[in-house]
Amino acid sequence: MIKVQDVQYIRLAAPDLDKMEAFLTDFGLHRSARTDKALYMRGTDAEHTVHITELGEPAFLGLAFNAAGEEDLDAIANLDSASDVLDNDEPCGGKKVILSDPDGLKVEIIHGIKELEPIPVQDITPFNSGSRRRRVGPFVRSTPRPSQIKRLGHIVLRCGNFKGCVDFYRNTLGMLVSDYLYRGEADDPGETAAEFLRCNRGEIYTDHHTILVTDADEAGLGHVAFEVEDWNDLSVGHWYMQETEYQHNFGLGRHILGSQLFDYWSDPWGHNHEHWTDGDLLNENTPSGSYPLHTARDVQWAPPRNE
Amino acid sequence: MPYREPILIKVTDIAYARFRAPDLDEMEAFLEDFGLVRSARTDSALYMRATDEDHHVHITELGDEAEFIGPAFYAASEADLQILSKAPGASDVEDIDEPGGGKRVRLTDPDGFEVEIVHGIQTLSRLPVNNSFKTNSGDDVRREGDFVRLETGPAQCKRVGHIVLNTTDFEASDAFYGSNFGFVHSDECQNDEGETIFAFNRIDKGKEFVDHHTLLTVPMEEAGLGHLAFEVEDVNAVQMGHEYLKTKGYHHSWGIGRHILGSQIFDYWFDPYGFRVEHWTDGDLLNEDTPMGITPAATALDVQWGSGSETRLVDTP
Repeated sequence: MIKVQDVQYIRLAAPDLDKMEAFLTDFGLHRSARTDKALYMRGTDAEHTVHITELGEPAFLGLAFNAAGEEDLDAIANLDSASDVLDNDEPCGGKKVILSDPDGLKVEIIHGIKELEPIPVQDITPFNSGSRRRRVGPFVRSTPRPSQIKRLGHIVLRCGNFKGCVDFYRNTLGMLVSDYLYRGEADDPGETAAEFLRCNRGEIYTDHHTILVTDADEAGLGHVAFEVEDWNDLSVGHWYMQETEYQHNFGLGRHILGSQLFDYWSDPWGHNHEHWTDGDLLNENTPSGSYPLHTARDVQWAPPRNE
Repeated sequence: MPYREPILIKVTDIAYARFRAPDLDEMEAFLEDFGLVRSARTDSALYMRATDEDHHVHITELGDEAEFIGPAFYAASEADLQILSKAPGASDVEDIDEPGGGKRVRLTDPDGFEVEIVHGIQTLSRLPVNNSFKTNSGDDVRREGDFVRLETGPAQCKRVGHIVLNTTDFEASDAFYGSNFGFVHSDECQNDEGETIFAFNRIDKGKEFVDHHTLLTVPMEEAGLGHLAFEVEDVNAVQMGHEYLKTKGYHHSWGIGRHILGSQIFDYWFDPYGFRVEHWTDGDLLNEDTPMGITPAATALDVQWGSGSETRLVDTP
């Protein structure tokens, strides 16, 4: 078992890279590379790629996690189902091992991805809350623009082989359970139907979930979620997207499990993309929680879903 | 023209607003749902407080007709009350015969609103603030290990922040509030001809930072209350308060959005008598070194994001 450190990118396929790039640009990503057959997008953090779209029929192809070091690539390459340690021939570089999860989804374990100059975050506006004045003097003057995506935060996986996936992500990739979600209610919980999993980084705090694995009829993408700067940035991007033709799914609101402030939009092929900020941070000492399944969809506040 | 000379005194903040209503129970129920707490109630009046230490921030007197009576502001000292009492039309310095006590001087503004300048009202212990969480913003991480779990309920008001008065003669009102109480223009708003038609006023505390506006006088056909605005803890409070008031079936006026002038994240509601009250958070803070802004009047109703002014209701539906 290795302990993956974070999710690095998602890999989708779409028949029109121009159209995908236009959506992702409005959504708040930046092109870092484009070839004849694929589009590579980044956030403001240094990593070269957080979103890959290959030219082809619309599909969710896979996801990549960061290994802690090259020795972890060697370790994972020993698995029967894994590739050797490969030099990554894509623009984001680094070395990687390719394997499949129990649903056949392509999982890349990557190390040494190329780093670019971080993109300066504009319009950071510390908050004057009732208890804490942190913006003494400067005004907020935000104008319509995309949210500023910092990084990829998590991916929700619909799993045909749920038990197999849980085992793979926990026992092969070393992820920890932040919350178990059971089918019934507290007095009669029944079996687990979903698990929020986070990376095990020891004492270092990490996102409440890096993936959510859910029991589904067939494998697929639930959604992919990107962290933005703050509440103001989330709101500015929401109202900017409202002026576009893209499909809004849900938000603005606040989740319970993970506590994120959220906003969901579909790309032109219906892949659900989330903006979030202000999520909970856990470390290896945080105990797992256990909740009824609907808690994963419940909110602390939000308008109704568009569905 | 940020300052008016000569200035009699400089008030230090808004204290409360005074209303009249035919049913104190109904007013109290609304204000509780809005996030205020009863501080005192007599046969003839209701006194509501916020979580800060001020004894009350909202007074409702029992009366046949719902009416806005006027705003009250704090004087820095009793000596300032003495100075003010010499102004034309001012009352003597009076003991306030109401819960919380203190002293005051009363004046009538150009539209007939009764303005109280108060000092020495009793203070109370602050109330504990719920739903207050640090944030994790980008690289600015302040909430490791602590989850946000919000309690459902009213958005607790921290304090009264500002009042907007509809006035029939802007020049007269502006001169009255500026020269008597030392208000300073933060932004002057102009019509297409470049004439200033209203201004956002803040209090003058020198180097100390204060809200972008404590008072706004807006020219209208008829004098009245524009709105009364209360500061809440943060965005969670604005949102949770919004949902709570919605489930209670009260009438919504405007929001949620972010103002330009003052930058507040806002949400406006109607009380049972049609008076508009605002929740806001994350406003701008200015001091004597902040230059005055000059903006088109329309900017006062524009938003940086959120529900635009076309969605704004000024009368109860």
